[in-house]
Amino acid sequence: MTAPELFDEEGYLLDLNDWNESLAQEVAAKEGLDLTPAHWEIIHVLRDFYTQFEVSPAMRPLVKAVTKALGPDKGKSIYLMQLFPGSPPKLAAKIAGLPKPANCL
Amino acid sequence: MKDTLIYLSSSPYQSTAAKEALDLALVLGTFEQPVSLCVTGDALAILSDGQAPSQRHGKHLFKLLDGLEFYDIENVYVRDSEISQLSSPLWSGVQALSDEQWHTMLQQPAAIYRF
Amino acid sequence: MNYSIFITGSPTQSRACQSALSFAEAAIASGHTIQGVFLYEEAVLLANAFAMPPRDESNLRAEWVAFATEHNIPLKVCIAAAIRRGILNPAEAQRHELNHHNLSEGFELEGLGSFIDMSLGSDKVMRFK
Repeated sequence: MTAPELFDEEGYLLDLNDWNESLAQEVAAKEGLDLTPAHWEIIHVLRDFYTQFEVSPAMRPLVKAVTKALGPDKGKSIYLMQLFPGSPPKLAAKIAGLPKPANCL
Repeated sequence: MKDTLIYLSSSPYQSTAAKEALDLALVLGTFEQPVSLCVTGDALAILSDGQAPSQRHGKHLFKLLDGLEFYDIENVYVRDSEISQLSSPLWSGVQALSDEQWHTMLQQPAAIYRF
Repeated sequence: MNYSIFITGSPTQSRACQSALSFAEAAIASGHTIQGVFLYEEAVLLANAFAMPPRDESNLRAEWVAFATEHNIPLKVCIAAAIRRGILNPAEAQRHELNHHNLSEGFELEGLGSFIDMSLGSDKVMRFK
């Protein structure tokens, strides 16, 4: 199992460089998610977004980024909610090893 | 709907003002509020292409510029009279305004927040 | 007129927090209302319960809290700006594994989105820098 000191109290990765795909799977499992290819493509969009712009997107920009990368069928909040229930930007950021989106209510 | 303008004149490397100004702009965009940016004076350093700040310098705000479209921030205004004096190339997404257009632009928004 | 008050100036390096309070008092006295107060940038330091002015000087934080309580005005503090500057409530202190918290009573940590809501609910935003 993963050392708990890799994460903060809410389960976000402390050092973004520690992220890898098997770590993502462990985090997802703790959240009750089984990662499918549909999850992975969103995780990669999110990580690309962070790498390019140095910010974790909130819902609206995430939807736009997914639309741009994967097309309008997937760039919908309903679709993202199905994959990452609750708050897709927060949950997906947690699994993708990114900081919690700032000012997320 | 109220148009908001974020008026940036602080250097990105002098304080956290530029970072916190852009945070406000992103949240306005996220909340579907029409928001534009204008950049003048020391803040023009944000737009310089080829900068490579270390983590100690602060966030790489230049990188964020390309992400503004995801927040529906389409207008980033600068003044022709200022940028013509700069030697380094600027981020390509700016709209350069004449002094007259600049003054007209400043009269449009319902709120202007200066940082 | 219903005002929102947006303060960004430091309580020690500027007069922003004093001027905003004088404005708010005058607005209420003239029959206007205040939707809320939002602290951003250096102004978040106003909410630091550990900042102790000498006893023979005014305590701006206490004056703000008394005024806001009397008129039922929310005092909101940007959570990201506050944490960056060491202003934490019990929940954030726990999240960052710290033993102390110092967000003064009478203030709440909120996202910037709550400022957007506040400003949309008011006729005018007054900003004090």
